[in-house]
Amino acid sequence: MDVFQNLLMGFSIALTAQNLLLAFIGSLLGTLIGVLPGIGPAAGAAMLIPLTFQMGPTGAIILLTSLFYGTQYGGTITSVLMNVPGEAASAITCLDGYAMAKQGRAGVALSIAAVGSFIGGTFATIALVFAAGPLTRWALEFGPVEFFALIVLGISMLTGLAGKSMIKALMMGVFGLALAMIGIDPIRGSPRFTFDRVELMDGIGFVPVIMGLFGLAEILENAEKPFAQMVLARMSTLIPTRGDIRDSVGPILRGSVIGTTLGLVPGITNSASSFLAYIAEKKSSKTPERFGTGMVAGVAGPETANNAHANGALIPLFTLGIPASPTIAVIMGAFMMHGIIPGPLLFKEHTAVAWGVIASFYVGNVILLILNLPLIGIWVQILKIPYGVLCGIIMAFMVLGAYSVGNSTFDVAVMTLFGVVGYLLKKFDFPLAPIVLTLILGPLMERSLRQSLEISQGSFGIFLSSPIAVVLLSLAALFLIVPAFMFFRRRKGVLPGDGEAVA
Amino acid sequence: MVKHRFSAWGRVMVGIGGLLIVSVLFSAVWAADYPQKGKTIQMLVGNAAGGPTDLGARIMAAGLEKELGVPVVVVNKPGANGQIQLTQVATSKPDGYLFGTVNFPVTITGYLDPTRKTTYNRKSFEPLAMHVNDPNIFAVLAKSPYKTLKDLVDAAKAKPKTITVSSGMRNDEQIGIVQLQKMTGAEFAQVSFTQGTAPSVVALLGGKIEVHCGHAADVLGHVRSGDVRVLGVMDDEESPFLPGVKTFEAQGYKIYSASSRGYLMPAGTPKEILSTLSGAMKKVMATGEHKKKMAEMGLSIRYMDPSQLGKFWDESETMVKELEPLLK
Amino acid sequence: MRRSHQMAALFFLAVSAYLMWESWNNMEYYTPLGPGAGFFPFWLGALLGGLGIAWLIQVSGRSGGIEAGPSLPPRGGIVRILSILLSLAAVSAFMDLLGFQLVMFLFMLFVLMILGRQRIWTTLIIALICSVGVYRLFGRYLDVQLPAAFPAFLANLGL
Repeated sequence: MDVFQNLLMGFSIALTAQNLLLAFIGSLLGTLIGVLPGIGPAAGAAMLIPLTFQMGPTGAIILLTSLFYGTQYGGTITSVLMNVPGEAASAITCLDGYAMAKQGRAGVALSIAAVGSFIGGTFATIALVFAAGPLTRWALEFGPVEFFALIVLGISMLTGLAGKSMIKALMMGVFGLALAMIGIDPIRGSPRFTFDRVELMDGIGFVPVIMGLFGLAEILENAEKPFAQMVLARMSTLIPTRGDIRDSVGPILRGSVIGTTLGLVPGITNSASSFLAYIAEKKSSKTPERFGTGMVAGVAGPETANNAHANGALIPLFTLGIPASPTIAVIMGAFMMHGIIPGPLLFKEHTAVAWGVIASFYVGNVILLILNLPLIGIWVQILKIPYGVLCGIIMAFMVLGAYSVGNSTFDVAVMTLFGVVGYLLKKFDFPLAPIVLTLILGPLMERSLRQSLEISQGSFGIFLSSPIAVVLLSLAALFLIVPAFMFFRRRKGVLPGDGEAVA
Repeated sequence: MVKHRFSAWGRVMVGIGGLLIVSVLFSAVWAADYPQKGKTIQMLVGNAAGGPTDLGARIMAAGLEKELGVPVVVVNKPGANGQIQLTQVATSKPDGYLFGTVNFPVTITGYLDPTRKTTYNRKSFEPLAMHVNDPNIFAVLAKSPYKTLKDLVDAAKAKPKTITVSSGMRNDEQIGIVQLQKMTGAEFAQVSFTQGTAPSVVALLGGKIEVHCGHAADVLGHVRSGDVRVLGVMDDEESPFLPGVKTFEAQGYKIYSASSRGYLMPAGTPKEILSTLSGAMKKVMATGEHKKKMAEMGLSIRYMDPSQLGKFWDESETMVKELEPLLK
Repeated sequence: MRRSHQMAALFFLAVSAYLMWESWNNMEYYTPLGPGAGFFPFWLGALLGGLGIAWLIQVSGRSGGIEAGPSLPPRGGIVRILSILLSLAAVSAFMDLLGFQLVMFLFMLFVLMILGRQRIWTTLIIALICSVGVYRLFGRYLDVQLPAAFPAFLANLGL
């Protein structure tokens, strides 16, 4: 088969000493950048570009792409060990990952995440190789109308994040949407809820907010007791049990599919992918109420999804020359600087480069797995540091991270504020995850609604004219109505086990 | 009255005159020493890392380092379409060790918009140099019924507000579209895409919008593969990246609209520093390596020195003020 | 315990009132093409208010006593929490003025020595790494310029 021949050729290119080395360096740097909060892959890639001037195109692209999907591996580490999201997509891993760390299962969480990431990334790459064309055509069906419907569906799924209290989950969802309204509105273009601060014009920084809500709030909670009394699980098991592995199979499969398909749609960030994978796991699980306490599925699903998303998002770049995210735009710039225009003619005109890079995606994912697994033993040693010291280091880390998002001390203040907010919300038993979900999806929703109505010049009928949109919106309605319905039925005492659930 | 040789006033004038001469000499000497070895020049980029402005700026920074012999460090201060970065540049010391990027026309529409409450305006800055001039284009799918610009305009006149065009929010794209509408009386259905050009190219390819208003670099690949046709370029000359595509002017609509990127410094920076740095940029832009890299990104460069840029800025400001009421 | 829940609910109601008031007065509700800037904030405010009232009722009703309320942490805990918050606020306030290294150094001293009760040597080493070390590392290798001190005499010290 043609594809296999090309693939073989690609491997012969990817496995040369130079390209292997570049893939390794890119993966290493990517992992480190993923660990460091604030500095995202886009900034890291942009910084490397001048270095790539001297390299050939294949080498340059291999370096940058391995950095890109490598960051997805690194972000998990701080989420699991310190409850500090290394980057947006890892926020959801904090929920169950950190819980597992507190139970002494940090190593398990990290290894399952690494394996899941590998499988997710490889799955997406296989999709690229064998189904790039049809998948991209499918992705092109998503115009503003369909996009809006998809986002609404995503928001409606916040009911899946509700723990004991639906009202509280909904309140947090609304709160997150309200936070998403801060900034320049997509309609008139003037500032909204910015209190005349320039820094808020682009919206409240997402990374400082989640660092505050998760990382700082956790520290504040721990500060209630003297630090000497704080013990973060001394022993950490590294090897997953057979049960763990069995529990991960489903989530990994589901995560791969979810991540790859959502990665194809430009505009959906990989945090959305990982969140939706989490919700999917919660819904598919026999014990949804135990999510948040250290369920392996809660780590395996999202981590697989965000890597599948990263690799999947590269597909539109190769087939159509469309960057699905800012980092990929940098990679596209790198392509162009070497005289290659990614797009429909890429495979025809630069067959060697294209297939060499694709083969390196496989190679890169393998390198990352090999790189990360042994490191887990080292990373979990961090948990052995006495909390009195660890807490200081974590806070320094967060200050640095919050600052480096936009080189602004304002973001540090935002993080501090949301640390308080998160602390208080936790005290009152409010779930934090819905805030993050709606904060991510909120701006996307308003913008695509506006675009859809500009296309139709005000007519809402446009939503009914698209079959995809109709399907997605109906699903969204179902997700919102069914849980509400169940909730009311429970209140009437129809279903057993009422005593536990309070609204 | 005792008559002194020099009256009190005279002494004051001599004193002031002396101070002026000394400071001019001093600044000339000081400026002639610019840039001093061991000091770092910061380039503040008002856009996120990896975007077109940032990439062009980084390429320039790399060239400047070689030319000037001092480190030139890029610092990204994204946010509010450059407002955060410009605020910082406007309030920083005019000693030549910090300069920033400037994007036209969004910088101008930014400080002219009262709701933005910017703390700076034209007078807060000294123009330094112009770097990139990226003219707007109109692109449609190859299979679209509009073969020429005239087809499009006629169709838009026949069915006002039905032909969808991707537009921005008070940026070069919207200005170009608005000028066309004003000139021809046609009315398009403007669809705002504010997060970069990729989403609108996707919408075009998927058939969700009919016209993509953007820049040459957005569609290079698709033009070569034959999927997309560019109807015109809003510039005074044809784009080297789109051979055969006529300008709007040549087709009867004299419209120039472009996203231009340049550099500026805080007001009060001595002229010598401005001309040294600007001259260095001119040299960088003339090197083959720089030209090649920018050309591969699909960015056409056009140098302007401080006074030319100042003139361009003033003219653009006038044009924007005229079109202000039409920009939503 | 019921009281604190009620206070929390009232807080949310205050936020929702603010949202509704601000969007009603200062923003466009509807434009010819669809919802204006004030549309969603208004309805979100209303929704938050509705949910807040529902929660208030729930908490004030007879079954409200079942749910254990948040307990106030012991005095030592409150002091620790407030001092962490104040020191972080100081960091963000002073970092642009005094430079990253100085501010971070002081911050680490505070957190490690006073809060964490660590020995002086451990504190100094870690504080130095986190302040000066990170500054040099990020500046040289990662191209991230952390803030330098503004007053000239501090800047000349290399801060």
